[in-house]
Amino acid sequence: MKRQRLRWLALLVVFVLVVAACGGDDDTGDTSAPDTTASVDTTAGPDTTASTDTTAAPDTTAGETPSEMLTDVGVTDDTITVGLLSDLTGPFGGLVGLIVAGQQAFWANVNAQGGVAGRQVELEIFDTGYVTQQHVEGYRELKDKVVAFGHSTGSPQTIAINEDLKADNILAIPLTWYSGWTDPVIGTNLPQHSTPYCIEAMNVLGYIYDEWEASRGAPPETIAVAGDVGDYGGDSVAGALLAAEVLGLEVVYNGDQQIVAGQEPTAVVEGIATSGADIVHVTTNSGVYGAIFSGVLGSPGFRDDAVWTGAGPSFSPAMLGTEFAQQIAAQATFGFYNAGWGADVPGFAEMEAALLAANPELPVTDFLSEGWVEAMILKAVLEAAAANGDLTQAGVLSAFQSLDTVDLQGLAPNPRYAGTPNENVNRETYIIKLDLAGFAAQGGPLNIGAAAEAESATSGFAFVENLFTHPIAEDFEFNEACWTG
Amino acid sequence: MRTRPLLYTSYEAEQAILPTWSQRIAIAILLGIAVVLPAEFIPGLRWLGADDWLDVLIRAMIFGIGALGLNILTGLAGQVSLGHAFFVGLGAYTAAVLGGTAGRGLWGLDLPIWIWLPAAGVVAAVVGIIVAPTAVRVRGLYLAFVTLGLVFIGEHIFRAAAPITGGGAIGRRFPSLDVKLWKEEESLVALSSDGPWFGIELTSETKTYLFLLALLIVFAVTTKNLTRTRVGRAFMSIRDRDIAAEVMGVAETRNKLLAFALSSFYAGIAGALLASFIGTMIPESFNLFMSIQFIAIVLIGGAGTVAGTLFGTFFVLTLPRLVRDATDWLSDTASGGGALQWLGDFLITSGPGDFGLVSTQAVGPGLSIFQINVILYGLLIIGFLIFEPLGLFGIWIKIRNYWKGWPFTY
Repeated sequence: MKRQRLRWLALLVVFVLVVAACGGDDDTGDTSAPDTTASVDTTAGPDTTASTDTTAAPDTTAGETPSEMLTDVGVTDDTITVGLLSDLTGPFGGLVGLIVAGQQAFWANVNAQGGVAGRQVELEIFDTGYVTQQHVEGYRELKDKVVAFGHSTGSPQTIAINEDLKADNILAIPLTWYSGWTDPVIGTNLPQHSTPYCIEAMNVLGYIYDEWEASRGAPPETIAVAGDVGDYGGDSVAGALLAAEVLGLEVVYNGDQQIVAGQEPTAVVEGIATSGADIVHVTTNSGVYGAIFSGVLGSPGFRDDAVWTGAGPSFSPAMLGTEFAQQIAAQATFGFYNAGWGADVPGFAEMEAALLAANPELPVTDFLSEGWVEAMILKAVLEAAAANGDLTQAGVLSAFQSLDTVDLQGLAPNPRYAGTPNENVNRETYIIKLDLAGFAAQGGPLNIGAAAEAESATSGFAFVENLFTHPIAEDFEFNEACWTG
Repeated sequence: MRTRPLLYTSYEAEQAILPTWSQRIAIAILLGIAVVLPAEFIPGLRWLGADDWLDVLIRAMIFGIGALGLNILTGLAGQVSLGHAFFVGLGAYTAAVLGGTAGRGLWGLDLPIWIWLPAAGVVAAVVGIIVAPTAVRVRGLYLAFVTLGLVFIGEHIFRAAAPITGGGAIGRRFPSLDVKLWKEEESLVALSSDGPWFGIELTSETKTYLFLLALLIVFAVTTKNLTRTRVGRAFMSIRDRDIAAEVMGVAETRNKLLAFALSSFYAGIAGALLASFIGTMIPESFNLFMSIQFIAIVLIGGAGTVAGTLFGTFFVLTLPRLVRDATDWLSDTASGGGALQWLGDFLITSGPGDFGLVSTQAVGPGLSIFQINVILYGLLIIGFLIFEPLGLFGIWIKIRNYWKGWPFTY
């Protein structure tokens, strides 16, 4: 027996040695571009794109730059593969699915016009379910297939891959508006866009305060806040508390970090119901928001004259189909990150045409443009990288790091990447109410094909203010993330 | 005479791990393939050796270690446990505290892997021994409920213990799998980065894969050996009839305690490896679903056998990826033409007006492949419980028996 076992061990060792010997020569040759030359070129890149060809161009590549493109992962001679870490089946699934559709339409449109750097852009989508592990799994699976990530859904999830993004030199566009992305310590690989949660909360609360005072003669006095556990809720609640302090609102209930996925939000419902607050600011997903609203609605402490708000993703037009639709439409005011469907901005016509071409049965929503905007930013980065002659993962990242801004054609406030956090951070918020009457008048949700033929169409959201900045947000000194764990 | 099946001339021969030559050769070939897989030169299996598939296999091997532990408790000793995820979590957080880095209010001692990996198993085993006296007083359905409670209590504690776990929904980073002597910068064996081993360039996935393959073999052989010892036979006697076992002089309580401790040890090791491999995990991951996943592995694979458990693990953990790849392939087929285009057309919906079963779009008609996966998973568990209670191992036995008697039916 013993001798036999030894024989097995010997056999195993032989096998190990065989693998070891065979492993070397099969080291996938197609990557070919040596890392050292790549990094040399990327450092030189910014200089060349700064339009002065004569300055400090590296001696070797001065003449024949464009034809020789450095590539490593996710780029072939005719395709560029971009990854999406999307929550398709989790709490934000309904919204993110539309954002993905926006991305797909954008790239289909770009590809029809010849693609980026003569290459067709393909999307590789991974469903993260808004679960951190699944997100990390998706990242690990895609990082060896894609040149960059077109979006990464969720603040805690994106934080979870941030260290890896930095280590692997990969760029990811955050599909989350955590203020940390604008903080250079955290967000080196994450091109932020639109106004972060904490500044959004200042804008929205400032707007509600002013509107309340104007319509009712006296200002509101109390506020109840609550939010999801983690960076998403924390960031938004931090902004709300800051605004409450400036506005002199008394915080009668503080449910910061109290909403936990998978748990009934009974404590939060009770806290809000017994607080009797004038303004209720809750940041979570729309399903839980509806549960909290209807919970408070059913309790004796419910006030039908209170204003309900929260970060943008807490709301969804789906609320207009619920039994409390009437009530929440009368009481809700909240913020949004990009221009709505049918907005009178330069970029809308092209987006509408591309979406109609892609799928006329898509519903009319304001989330489609978020996907479109994300893709616009990535396209700008990819084009800058291609101009540098370096479409490696690191090359794409470095192209972003030398980018000043991207023209989003009015579909969202243009992002700024060149200055200090205080200069870079966006401070404009779209203020939204639920448009139940208009929604009912058109007979519920409309698809974009029907909307193109109709005179007017509403997604269920009514944009009451575009690019609104309240003085609190204007004066806010932003140097680092509003909230860190 | 030597080649007659089921004829053993000595007790040692009957108890051998691999009693026949055909089994020995089969295992040798299987191991050989497993070891050389990352080199991507085996015809027909090159795809399996690619880094993204190695990721799937690595996860399967880690789950395999945990499932072997549950197999000791449920398969051998007959004690149904829904609390396995709790012990997996304990292992993960022991690793986090001992091997992780402090900061952001988190505890971490930065100790090397040779301390935190065994410690993860030991801590889980000790907690297993502490809670086992409650569990050994009940059996069957009641035991399932007691251990079910353990998962919920555990999840609550993990969520509340922010300095250890990072807090609910946030989580923390776990130590990497690099082997260090102490706290030095340069690691002795760097599993988490690409680099050469014995002069051969290997990716970090390949290195981790080989490391875990070795670990899995160690744990599988240990488990197999356990079944051949006095302890293993005591476990089985308790499983088959506990009163009869006691009458024969098998110490029931002590053996049940031991089964809990051993099973928890395996779970702890698996937890530490899983967390360390994934990198960042949230406390909610060690929940009932993970426990059920382990139960499913043992049931689908075939309770009580080492080979069955490993079959089950690889089947359950590679299935989602296989389905996804198959869908992608079908989707390409549907658009690209070829012999199977009709099948692709039928199954895949690629846009509006095309009513296939599976949708490749993010919105619109049809089920997403992710939903298909969840449905398949449920159907498989039900199917196996009804039609093949012995699991994949049972199917294997049937195939083997058929060929043993071939061309006669019995």
